[in-house]
Amino acid sequence: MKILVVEDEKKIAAFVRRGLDEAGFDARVCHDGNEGYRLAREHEWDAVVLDIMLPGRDGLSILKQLRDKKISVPVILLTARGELDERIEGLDLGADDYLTKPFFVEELVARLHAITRRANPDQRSLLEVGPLRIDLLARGVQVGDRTLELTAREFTLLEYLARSPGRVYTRTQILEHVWHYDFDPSTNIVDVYIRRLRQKLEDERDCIETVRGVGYRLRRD
Amino acid sequence: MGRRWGFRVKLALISTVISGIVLIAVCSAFWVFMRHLYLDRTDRELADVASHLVIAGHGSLAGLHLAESPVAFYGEELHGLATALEDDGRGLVERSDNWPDDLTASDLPRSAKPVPAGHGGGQHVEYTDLHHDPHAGPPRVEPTYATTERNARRWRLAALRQGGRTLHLALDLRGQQAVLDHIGHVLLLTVVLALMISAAGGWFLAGRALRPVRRLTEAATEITAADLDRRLDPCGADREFARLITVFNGMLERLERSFGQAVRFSADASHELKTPLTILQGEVEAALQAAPAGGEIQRVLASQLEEIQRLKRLVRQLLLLSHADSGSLRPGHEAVDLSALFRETCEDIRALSPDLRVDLDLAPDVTVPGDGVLLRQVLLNLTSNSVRHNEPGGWVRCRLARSGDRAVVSVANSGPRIPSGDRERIFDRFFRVADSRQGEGVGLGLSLALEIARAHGGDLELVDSTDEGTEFRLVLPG
Repeated sequence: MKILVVEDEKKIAAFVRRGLDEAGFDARVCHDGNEGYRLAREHEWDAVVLDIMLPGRDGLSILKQLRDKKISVPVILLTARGELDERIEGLDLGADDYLTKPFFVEELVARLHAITRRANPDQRSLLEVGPLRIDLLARGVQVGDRTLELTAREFTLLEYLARSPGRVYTRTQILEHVWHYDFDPSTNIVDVYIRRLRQKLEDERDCIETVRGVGYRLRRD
Repeated sequence: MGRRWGFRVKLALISTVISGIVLIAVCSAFWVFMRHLYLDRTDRELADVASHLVIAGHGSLAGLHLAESPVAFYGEELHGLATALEDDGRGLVERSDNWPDDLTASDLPRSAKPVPAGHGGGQHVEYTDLHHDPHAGPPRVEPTYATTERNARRWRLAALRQGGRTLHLALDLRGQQAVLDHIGHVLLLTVVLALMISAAGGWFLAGRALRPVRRLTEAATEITAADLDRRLDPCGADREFARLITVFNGMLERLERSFGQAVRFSADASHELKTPLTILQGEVEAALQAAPAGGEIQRVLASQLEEIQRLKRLVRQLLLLSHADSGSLRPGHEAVDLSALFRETCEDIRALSPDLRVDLDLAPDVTVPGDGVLLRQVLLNLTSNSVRHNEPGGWVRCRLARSGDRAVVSVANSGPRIPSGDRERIFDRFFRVADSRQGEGVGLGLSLALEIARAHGGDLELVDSTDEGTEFRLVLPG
């Protein structure tokens, strides 16, 4: 999937590109607003990641012009300042989602998956990881032929781990994705939910691995 | 008086009192003067009558016979004039018909005037010149006067003594008193009317004088952080108020500037703080994925991510507070499903503290207009506080109800009560209850929750904190 990243801060652009490439996206980075607008308009993209504060032309006006020209490519806004107003304005202008800086690349990946799935409903609506079959649309999980009864939080957590099997997710990342970083990082709520998930997985509990002192990951096989 | 009465009432009252004092003084003086004038005139007329009677008696009282003396020419004012003659030692020897019975010789004034020396025998007043020269007018007499009251009638008495004989004149003062009473009534009525007019005038003038102040007050009330660029128009105001308005406008300008700086600061600080944090977090995240799984390096990086998370949280809270301070914390109006949000949050209480008894009573489908992210933060703050400040085997009670057009959230928990001295301060920034068991957070949560509630047009309050439990209530307009 081709993603355009318009972000003037070179270091941010660099790790975003690296993270997206690792997650299997084909990311192209550009550091200037005018250039970003030109690229967004002239090429086909599966999604555009737009920083709001940009030299040349700011993210919101790029978004507005794209929508004015009936270009409906999914857009995720990156906002740093004035969280509230920009978020509301961005969504009003037709952004599909927003991420507040500082954000985890892993979170950006999850959001990109979500909005590209919304754009193409038949694509990747089923995740199969080892014994798990996760239906992203119906938000249901099957282990073998058994259906798991999961709460909303438990499902979000399992789905997040299943995005990149084998990848280590720290407690902080999980906390931010599932609980939206309102929690203090010293809380043990992530461990509590992992324990619950494991209980529900019964014999397959080992598919969630603990990486001691770091976090959790889902086994690839 | 002071605050209870208000400037306007005070001004009206003061103007009334002052004009009242002046009016009463003037009117009293006028009335006293009128009375004096009337009495004076009466006395002169009495003296006139006396001198004419002396003329009628051929220059002395000795030759006077009242019955023969015509009194018709005395005029209407002297209508009711009674006359009597008294001889030393013999009492009243002659009385006119209308002489009041209750006036006896002992009531009448005695002439105390010594007869001037050189007028023969000390008893005789010489009128011979006048008697021989009728063109010189009536002889000069100086009677002694007195006022007496008998059976509710006032009499002005005049006594003229000559050679062992005294002429008594008594004039009924009724008519004169009636005139004076009438004048008194008119004056009293005038004073009352004038006082009323003065009070009304004072009230009106004070109102007029205060109009610019009222305008200023209204304008100041209307000006909020959102429209600090408003100014008052000093045109048309009096000099004193024009100056006040200018000063007020100057103050607004300084306020606007400093608010502008605060807003700019929070915007700039957002960017300046968040950009390095974003880079730091992104690179640590990338390094963590690249490091050998479960290794020492990965552990260190994970711990760093946790600290970055702490910083992020602090920065976010501070920025939101600075938004709140500058009046730019303006949540949107998306319909937030408070029921769903609260249910999720409550689920976390059970997960975090399985030993707590969690009692839920959440009305379904309660939505409020606002910002879901911010409202979730308020709910999370309340529930996580209820867990953190609880006791082993304690309870948490969460309620959500609709009350009229408002949503009411209540979170109560067992645990040590908040000391009464701390209750005022728990919403203060960086305040933490002394026995806080865990060093979690920096004490911004509740103050931020309060700001968020207020930004939504609602309120957050500590309802009660006893040994039974502590209850917080969040009210949001629906």
